[in-house]
Amino acid sequence: MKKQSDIILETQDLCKYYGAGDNLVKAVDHIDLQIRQGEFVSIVGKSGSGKSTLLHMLGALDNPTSGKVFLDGENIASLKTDNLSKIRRRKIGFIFQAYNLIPSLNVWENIVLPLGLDGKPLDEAFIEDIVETLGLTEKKRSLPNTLSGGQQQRCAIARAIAAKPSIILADEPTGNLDTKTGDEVMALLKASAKKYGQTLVVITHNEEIAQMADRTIMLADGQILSDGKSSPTSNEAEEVDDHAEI
Amino acid sequence: MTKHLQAPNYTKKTYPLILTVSIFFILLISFLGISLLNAQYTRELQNLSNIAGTVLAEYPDAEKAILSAAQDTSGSHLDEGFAILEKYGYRDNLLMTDNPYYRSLLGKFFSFLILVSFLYVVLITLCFFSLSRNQRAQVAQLHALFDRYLSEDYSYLTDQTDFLPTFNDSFKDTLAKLENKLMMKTQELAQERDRTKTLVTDISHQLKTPVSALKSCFSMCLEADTETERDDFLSRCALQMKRLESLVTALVNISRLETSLITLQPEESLLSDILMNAVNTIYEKALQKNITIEVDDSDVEDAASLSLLLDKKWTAEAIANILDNAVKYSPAGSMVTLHLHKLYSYVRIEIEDEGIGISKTEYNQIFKRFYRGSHPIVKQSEGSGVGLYLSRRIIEEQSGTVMVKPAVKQGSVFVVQLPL
Repeated sequence: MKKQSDIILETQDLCKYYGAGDNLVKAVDHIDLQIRQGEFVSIVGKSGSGKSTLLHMLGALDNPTSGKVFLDGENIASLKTDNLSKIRRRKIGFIFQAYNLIPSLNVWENIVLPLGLDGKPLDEAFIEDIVETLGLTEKKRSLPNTLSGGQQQRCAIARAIAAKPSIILADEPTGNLDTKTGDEVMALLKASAKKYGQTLVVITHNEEIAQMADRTIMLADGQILSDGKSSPTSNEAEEVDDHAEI
Repeated sequence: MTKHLQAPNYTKKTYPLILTVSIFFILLISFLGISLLNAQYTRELQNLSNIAGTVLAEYPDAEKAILSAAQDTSGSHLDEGFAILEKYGYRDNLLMTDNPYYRSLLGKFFSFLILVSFLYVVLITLCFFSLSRNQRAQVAQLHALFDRYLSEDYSYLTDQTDFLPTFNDSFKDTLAKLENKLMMKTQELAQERDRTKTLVTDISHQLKTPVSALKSCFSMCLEADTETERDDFLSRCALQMKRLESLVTALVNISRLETSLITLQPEESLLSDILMNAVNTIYEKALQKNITIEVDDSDVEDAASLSLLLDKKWTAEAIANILDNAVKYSPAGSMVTLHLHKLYSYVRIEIEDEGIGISKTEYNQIFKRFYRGSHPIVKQSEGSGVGLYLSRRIIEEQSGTVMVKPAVKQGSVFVVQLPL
């Protein structure tokens, strides 16, 4: 098989075990998956299916027990802590259920904070554009605790996008939001990722939200139950054979 | 690229090596010269001491004369000395090689020089040999690489992490980029080809069935025995014709969308207009089944004047397709409701029906091209599996989203989000 050039994230035989003996928990159990550049992939599964553990390893937040994680062709599972945090800052944007905004900083400061940490020059026009795309223009100077949940999550999305990462990993980004706000935040996340050419991997237990993705990977007991690899256009023609009779 | 090709890595290692070897030999030759000078100096001192010793043994008074002669560098008595010595065969033009001491010194010097030069030549040759071998190896590697590229295999660099160890990193980087680029282009081409192929297969497949149905209708019509039978088949023909027509329209839309012939033209359009157009399209069908379509915009204050940047015609088509689906799979006398909500960045339109519903496993499938549900009622009814696919394409093209959820009681809710 020829290498697929646009694979940005790939795992090979990825495992994460906790405990030992009778208490051995296989949180992630031999997972192979490939995510292409610019793709929006949702990972769904019940709680305890290993989706968060998987995401943490995709984002180099956790070390696998065995197996490899390739980000842009580089095996990040074998990197040292220093290099890892560098890669995380440069290439990955994170969005969590709990927003994780810094309460004493306003929206704008929260968004640009990671850029400061990395010593990157501030592309103010770009940040302004993100802020506008996410409808935060009027809230730029507000402190997080004055915002609604949806607004806080939009701020977290802006923060994740601001560093221009090639991939955004979101762990239950709508978990704390009501349905309508959650749907809207997901739509915004999708639109922003598309606008800025970023790959999006979203973990959710909400199968309806997963519909927005280009592809849905279902997990159960640390293994891939199904991987909707086929694109929306490639549907077997045979399936429609039996209905058009006189 | 050219820059890297001209300056590959071997120069970095080999040329300094040659330089080092050369410097080493120059130092060696200099050392040789200095030791020769030193030998000469020692010899002169010895000669002088010998002469002084011999003369002083016979003429102790000559000490002063010898000392001043030793210190005299101007050579004031040089001519007299030459004249005396010449009598004994020490001539002005006497060759150095005639002197056994210098002859042996010269011999040592030459043999050393030859040895050193030989070593130098051997080392330099070795250097150049390894250099050219390196070059040949590189050319061979590049050859192998390009051969693979020509056969559309772009896995060389990635598969072999130790590939081209003699090339420097920036050269390898450029090669990797080239490889990626080539691969991407090839893939794009292949995908494009696949898409077109699937589209053509799908369309021809879709057309074949109704056309053959129409054909058999016609032939039955021609063979009809009675007037009523013929009329019956004729009306079936008309029905098939109508189906074919709508299918062709859908297919034309799809192929135009697929090949980007349709460019959506967003303009400020009233949402109420779009919804009105969409409802009007399927009003007839709904009326036939006595299905009420209701728009509930109580949640939006400025519903009548709400304007969005959308392509009016195609967005209405997208919503009409969803409504059509709702009407088609809902029982007679039921309700289809459009709930409007204005969110921060999106307008949310929930299209709720009381129909047969969609199984969760099919949520992702129903928006696929030519997909038809597995429910028996779906199988019985007409349809090309194009409508929802088209809807999703149109809505997503305009940065909106569409998804389906189960309704609270019965049926489905299609949630359309359109950007404000």
